[in-house]
Amino acid sequence: MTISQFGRVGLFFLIAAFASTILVACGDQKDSEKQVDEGVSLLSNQATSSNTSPDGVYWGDLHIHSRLSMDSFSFGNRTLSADDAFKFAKGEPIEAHTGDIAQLKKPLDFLLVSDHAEFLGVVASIMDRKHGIDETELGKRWQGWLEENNIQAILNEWVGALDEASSPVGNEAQNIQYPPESFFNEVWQDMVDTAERHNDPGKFSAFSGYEWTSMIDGDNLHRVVIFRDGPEKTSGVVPVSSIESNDPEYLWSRLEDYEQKTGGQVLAIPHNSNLSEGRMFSEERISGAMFDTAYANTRIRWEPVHEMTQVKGDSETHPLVSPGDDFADFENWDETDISRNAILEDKKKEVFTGSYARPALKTGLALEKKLGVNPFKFGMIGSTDSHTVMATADSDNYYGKFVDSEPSPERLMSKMGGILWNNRMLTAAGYAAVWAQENSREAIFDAIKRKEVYATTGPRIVLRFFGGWDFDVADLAQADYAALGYQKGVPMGGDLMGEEAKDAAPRFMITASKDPDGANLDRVQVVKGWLAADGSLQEKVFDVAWSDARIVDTETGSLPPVGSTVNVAKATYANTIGAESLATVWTDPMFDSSLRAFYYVRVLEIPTPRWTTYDAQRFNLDLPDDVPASIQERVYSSPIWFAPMAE
Amino acid sequence: MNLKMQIKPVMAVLIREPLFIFVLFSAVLYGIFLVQKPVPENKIIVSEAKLQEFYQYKRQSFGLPAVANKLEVMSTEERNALIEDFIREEVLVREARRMGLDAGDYIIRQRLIQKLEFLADTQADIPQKAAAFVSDWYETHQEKYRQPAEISFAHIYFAAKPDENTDPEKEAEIALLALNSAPSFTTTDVSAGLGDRFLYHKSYQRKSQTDIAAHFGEGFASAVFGLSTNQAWQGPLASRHGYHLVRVVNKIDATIPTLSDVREKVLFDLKLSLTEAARQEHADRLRKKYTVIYDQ
Repeated sequence: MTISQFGRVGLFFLIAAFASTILVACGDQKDSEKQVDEGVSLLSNQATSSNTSPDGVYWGDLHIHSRLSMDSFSFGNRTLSADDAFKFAKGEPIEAHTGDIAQLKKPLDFLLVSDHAEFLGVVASIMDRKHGIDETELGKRWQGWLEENNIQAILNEWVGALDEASSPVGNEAQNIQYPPESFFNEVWQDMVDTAERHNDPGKFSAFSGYEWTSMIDGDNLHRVVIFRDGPEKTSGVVPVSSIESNDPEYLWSRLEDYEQKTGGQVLAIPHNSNLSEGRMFSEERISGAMFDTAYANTRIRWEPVHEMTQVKGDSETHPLVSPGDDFADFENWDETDISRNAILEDKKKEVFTGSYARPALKTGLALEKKLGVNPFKFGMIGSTDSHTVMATADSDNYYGKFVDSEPSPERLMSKMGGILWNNRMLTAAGYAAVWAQENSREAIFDAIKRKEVYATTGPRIVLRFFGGWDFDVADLAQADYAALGYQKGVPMGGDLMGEEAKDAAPRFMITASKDPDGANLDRVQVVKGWLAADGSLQEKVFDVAWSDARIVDTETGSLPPVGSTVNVAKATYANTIGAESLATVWTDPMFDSSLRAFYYVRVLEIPTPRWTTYDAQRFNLDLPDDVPASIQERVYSSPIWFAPMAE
Repeated sequence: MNLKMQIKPVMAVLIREPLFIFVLFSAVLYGIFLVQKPVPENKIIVSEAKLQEFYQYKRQSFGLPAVANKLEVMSTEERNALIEDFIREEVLVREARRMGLDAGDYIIRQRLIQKLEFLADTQADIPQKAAAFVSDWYETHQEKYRQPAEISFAHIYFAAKPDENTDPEKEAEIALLALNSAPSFTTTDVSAGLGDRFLYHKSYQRKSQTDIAAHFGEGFASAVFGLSTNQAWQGPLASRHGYHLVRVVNKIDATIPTLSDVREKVLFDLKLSLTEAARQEHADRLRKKYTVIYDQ
């Protein structure tokens, strides 16, 4: 041993001493930081002046995955973390797996990184040697496979555990020695800290949450869990896994526990009902029992909104259940469930009643009549469900779902994860739009809870929707028409009551303006669903405002199409058709004050190239014939419900 | 209560204790120095095939010809950077192997690199005089934290209505007179009924010039930042939609924030940068032992 080696050891002791100093110094800063934060929120309060109605629409993604998610990691995302997800959402550039630098054209206002709770962070922690996972039996076994690059063996175990999790405690999970709660709490702590570091009230809201991934018989029942709170309340959380139970009622009871214990608030947001084989909005509980009033209350208390448009398709409605709707055939993903089990052709119509949002909203009216409570009284949002941390929903700047659906000349013909669906089926969607008083976790969460939110397939179309009895077309000329909206009625997500109807039909004030960087608008539609006197569920789509002074065909009663400026070969469109902004006050022409109903707004853009068309042009490829060359992107408002006078 | 339960909390406390961690790493590093073997092979050959393989491993994307072709279309800078990465990694792997571990698998290679880098990382945690070090570092990197100018304002919109033959600019000027001759600053009420429905929002909070340009156009966005913050209605300003009277509630110039405003982010970035620098230095030091041969 030489002197210099002794010297090095000594140096490391010294280092340790300095490191302790810097940690202490950080601790002292906490208080002054808090004061700065309070100063900022004071400032934003001043800016809102005396107006407490929401005057800001905020855009975000409440469903995105990082390398902590088993499938994201297994399908190639070894490096991109929640930290990268937040950076990307805030508009900072990150390096995609292709080696390209990826950046959002317009940053988002909020983000929730919702990694799968099942096996949360297990493989990433094995790779990072973190949280003691390499000391567990499963950790040792998987580490071996990882070193052999035998991802398939790992995949088999976790997919198996998820598939088998049909008893309260899945046998498969016991067999494979599922890691202990303490491990998951440590991973969660990292997630919470990352979100907290990126949370910047007034500028950017970083939510904590996770995805609960239940799929009974391959039927997608996934829910994203979103917390309103910061680390002071969420630190003790262990994400609820579907391996504990695949019944949403169990998840809700655990969410209830959290609120009781911490005084915090949390919600669950279901998605991909289109891949649930009718189970998402089935009228039966997982136990096989029928719904009762308590169930209906519990469900709508925890699940006030539905993520109904995202990369794995659009869940608004389907041509088979909405045959009268010319625009129902839109990115449906209607061949299989989430496990790619085919849905039989002759069962589709029946199955889809439980798979799509519009029929579910209708079913909810019948259930409300029966139970006194509507369990499907949900608002609508979009999110991406990207598994590469990149929240992209624009067709001309689309980064897909998994690593192999990032831009490349291959993705038009390759499969997701090498084995799943064709990448070209993916939809460049969606985001959540939220009307809130300010950009903060609390304000955005509260808006979700009151359903003052809407879904977009990508474009940031600004949509306002109010229902009431006294709106007049002159209100639309007012600069403060939105204030009138709140004074004289209710915003999207609200209720109209028969007690106020006085035999008059409700009026709806609607304004829609194009994405400032996007395509013009084709039309504004109101979708009405109602429970008829004979007990049947009905629906109708009304065109209520449109561009280019088109005239409704008196024979068919339909509005002619807006046309198309899409040049498929060049992947371009032009805003020479359509309108920059559309507005109307619309009165329901077939209102019956004795019938339950809902109304929501759908706004269509003029046709624009689908992302696959941009790809074909960019990489000089043939356009596949099983996807459309152009689409009409859209936004969906949360509904306004009408309940007749109590008998 | 069993013994295990008593031990666990003690370990948990120790693990969070930086001094303990660093003593532990010191010991590990010291051990490694003891088992060091003499330098064996010290030549590194850089060839096209090796670069290709290296790039594919790095991207973790073997199936994608796009990645394979990337090497051919790379700029000289990108290519040189890739070669540097390759050499660096080769050096680290060999050094790690020299310490008595060896395996051909990529993940083990990564693990070896991580181990060495981890040792280097511990050195990154050594700011000489903690507080001064952080503020010095911030001083030299503060451009990165510059926040763009932000504005919060309310506006009253006067639409251009081609078919009605009105003059929105004139309307705005008349309205401005009325507003500013109102008895007090309680202009909110006076302004409530004025103007037309705007496409987007009545007021904007903490928005940058780029944000404002998206809703109003470039000309308005630059003009609105030129207005003063004095609670009075000003204008009219032209936008691509018509004319606007504007009341600026608050304006924040582009600023370099004080360290205390961004301390948490700075500490995070500083740690990253120190880690990166220490890793690089460590790798460079090791690299000096090797000769690189380009086999083109």
